[in-house]
Amino acid sequence: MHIPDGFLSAEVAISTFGVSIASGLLAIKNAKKKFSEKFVLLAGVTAAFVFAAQMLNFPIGFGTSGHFLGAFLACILLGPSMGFWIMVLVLVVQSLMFADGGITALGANVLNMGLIGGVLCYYIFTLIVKIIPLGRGTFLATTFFISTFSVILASAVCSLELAISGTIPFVVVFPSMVGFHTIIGIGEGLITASVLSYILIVRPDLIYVLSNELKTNLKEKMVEGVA
Amino acid sequence: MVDKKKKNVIVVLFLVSLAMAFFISPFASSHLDGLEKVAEKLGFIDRGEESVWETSPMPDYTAYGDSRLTGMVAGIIGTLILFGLGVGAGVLLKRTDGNGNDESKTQRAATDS
Repeated sequence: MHIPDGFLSAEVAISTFGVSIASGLLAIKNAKKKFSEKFVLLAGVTAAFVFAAQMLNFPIGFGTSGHFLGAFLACILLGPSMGFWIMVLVLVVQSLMFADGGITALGANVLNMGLIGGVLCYYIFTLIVKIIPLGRGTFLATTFFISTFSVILASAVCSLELAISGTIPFVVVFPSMVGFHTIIGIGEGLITASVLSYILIVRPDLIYVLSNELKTNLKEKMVEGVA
Repeated sequence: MVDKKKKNVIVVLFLVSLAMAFFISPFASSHLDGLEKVAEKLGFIDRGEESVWETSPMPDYTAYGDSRLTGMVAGIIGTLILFGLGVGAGVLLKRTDGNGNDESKTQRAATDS
């Protein structure tokens, strides 16, 4: 879903850069309050994993492919602030070194994939797990559905940006974008839930959302479920 | 014990990342991705500008050429760079009030018991 140069108008490119830079600064402030030292190496491997997994385009039919996004996974593992910054790093390296995603579209790509697909969906997740009975199974099912949704939501916002840019009318682009990205999103959900189910077995305390945000009602259940 | 286990998770995920970039990436689908396909279908793919593609060091995940091997090398280089940047971001942005260490100790103790 990396937008190349030329798809967005100057107004959309600049305003999305503005939102992304503001979010980045806010994330720095927030990380310095909450991001624990024990997650530092995990931040490195998450960045490496997201980058490598994004290279693996899988066919979804219709002569089309899709790939893992990883923003929601990064936010669940590292918290929304560091998760956001990991996506910024991945997208910047992809754009500057690998010409995957335009440089002028970087603000929009960070907004769509990092902020919408990652941070926003992370907060949706924290709201949902407060109202459902949570165990190992429901945790993984919820992450599956929300990571699927994260790709669909990011593609919807991408459609909106293309429409505001005057590239293509919203009613034309939205159904196609959401259609393809619903299938891609299922791949996203499967990968996210698989990685989390592995970490849940070996080191549940290395999942930020369990050890930091939902300490009281969730962590004990998870660790109990593992034992 | 727990430290060793923690290290293992990191090592496993790191090796999986390298393996994906090196061994699996050559088999990745070369079909257009979702957005590209939509752009092609709806006729606005020509708006995409190619200029930047030519000036980036490894356009489209190929390191100075387009054979399969250079793609694998580009994948490894990118994965290692991202690992370095991720650790760097973690070190720069970790919380500075000192609670980080204390809390992780308590959590390790809790996991040990």
